[in-house]
Amino acid sequence: MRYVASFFILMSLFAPAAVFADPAIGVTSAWISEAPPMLKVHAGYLVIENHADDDVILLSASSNAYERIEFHFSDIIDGMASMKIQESITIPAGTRFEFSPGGYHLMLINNHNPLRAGDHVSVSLEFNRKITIDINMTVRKPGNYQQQQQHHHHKH
Amino acid sequence: MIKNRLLLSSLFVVICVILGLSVGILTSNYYRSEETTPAIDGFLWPAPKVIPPFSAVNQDGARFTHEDMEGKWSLLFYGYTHCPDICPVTLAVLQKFYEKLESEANASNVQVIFISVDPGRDTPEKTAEYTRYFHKDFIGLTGSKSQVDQMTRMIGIAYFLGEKDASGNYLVDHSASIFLVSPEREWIGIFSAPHQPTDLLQRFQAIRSAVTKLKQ
Repeated sequence: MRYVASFFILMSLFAPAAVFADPAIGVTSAWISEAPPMLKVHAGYLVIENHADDDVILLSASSNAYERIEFHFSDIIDGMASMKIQESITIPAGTRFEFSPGGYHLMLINNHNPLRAGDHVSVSLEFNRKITIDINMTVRKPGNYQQQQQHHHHKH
Repeated sequence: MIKNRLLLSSLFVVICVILGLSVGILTSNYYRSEETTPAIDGFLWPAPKVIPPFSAVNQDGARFTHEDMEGKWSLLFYGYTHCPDICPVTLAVLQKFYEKLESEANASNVQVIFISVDPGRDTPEKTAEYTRYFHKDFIGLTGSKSQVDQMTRMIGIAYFLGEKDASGNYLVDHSASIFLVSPEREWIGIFSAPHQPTDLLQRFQAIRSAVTKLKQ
C-alpha cells in the first residue's frame, strides 16, 4: 500500500502542469516575456493543440499573479502596429493555435509581485464545455520576432 | 576558292563585331548597375530626405536635438513603454543587432533611439528604465506632445492613442518599422516588420558601405 502511494506521489511529480487535464487539449511552450520592472503589462505566449473532433473555444484566462488577462492580436497594416482585443479564441478541430511574438498573445495586466526571468506563473485557461486547464508559464527574456503562422481569427 | 575565302573572312569580321558589341553592351549594363547600387531592400536612395530641426528630452532629462544625430548612424523606433508585444520584441532585435556591432568594435558611431509616442505616461525616468533594460547605450526620447509630433512628422508617420479602459489603461497604435538616418542626417533607410537581427545587420551594413562609396 505504501509503495502504491509513493508511486502515485512520484508520478504526480512528473505529471503535466494541467490539473483538470483534458486529453483532447494540449498546451505547450507557455512562457511570459520578462519586462523592465516599471512595466506592469506583460505578454504571454503558448501553443494550444486541439486533438478533438470538435472545435474548442478559449473563453478566458486568469492568474493569481495578475489583476486580469486579455487575449490580444498585434496587427501590422501598412507598417502601422495596433493591438486588437479578442473576446475568445477558437481552435478548430485537429489544429494547433500559436500565441507568438508579433502575433497573438496573452496580455497579462498588473502583476502583483515583481517577476524576473526564471520565475513561474500559474495561469488557468477556461474553455467551453466547462474545460479548465491550469498551466505553468515560465518567465523568459524577450525573444525574437515570430510572425504568426496561423491566422484563424484574423480577418484581413 | 578566293570567293569562298572572302565570304569566310567577312563572316568572321561580322561575327567578331557582333560578339564585341554584345560584350560591350552586357558589361556596360553591369558597370551602370554597379554605379547606382540599388537592390538593398529599404534603401532610400537617391535624394534622401534630410531630417528637419527638432528638439526632445532624452532618458537623462537632457535636451536632445537634430544636432545629436550628426556624425552617427541612427536607428529610430517609435513605440511606447506600456506596449507588451511589438515594442519589446523590436527592442530585443535592436539589442542583438547592437551587441553584434559591439562585438565587431563597430558600434561607436551607431546609436539606437527609442522614441515614445505616449508622452502622457512615458516620463524621461520611465523611458530611461525601459531603454536601459535592453541596452545601457540606448537613447530614449520623449517630450511634450508637440515635440513628439515633431518627431513623428519628420518621418511622416502617425500614431493614435486608444480609449482608456476602467483602470485607465490604453493602447497606442504606432509604426512597427525601424528607420535609418545617416551621419549627415539623411533619412536613408526603412526596415519593415517583422525584424530579424541578422537581416537588419546585413542590410544596415550594405547601406552603410553603399553610402560611403557613393559619397567618395
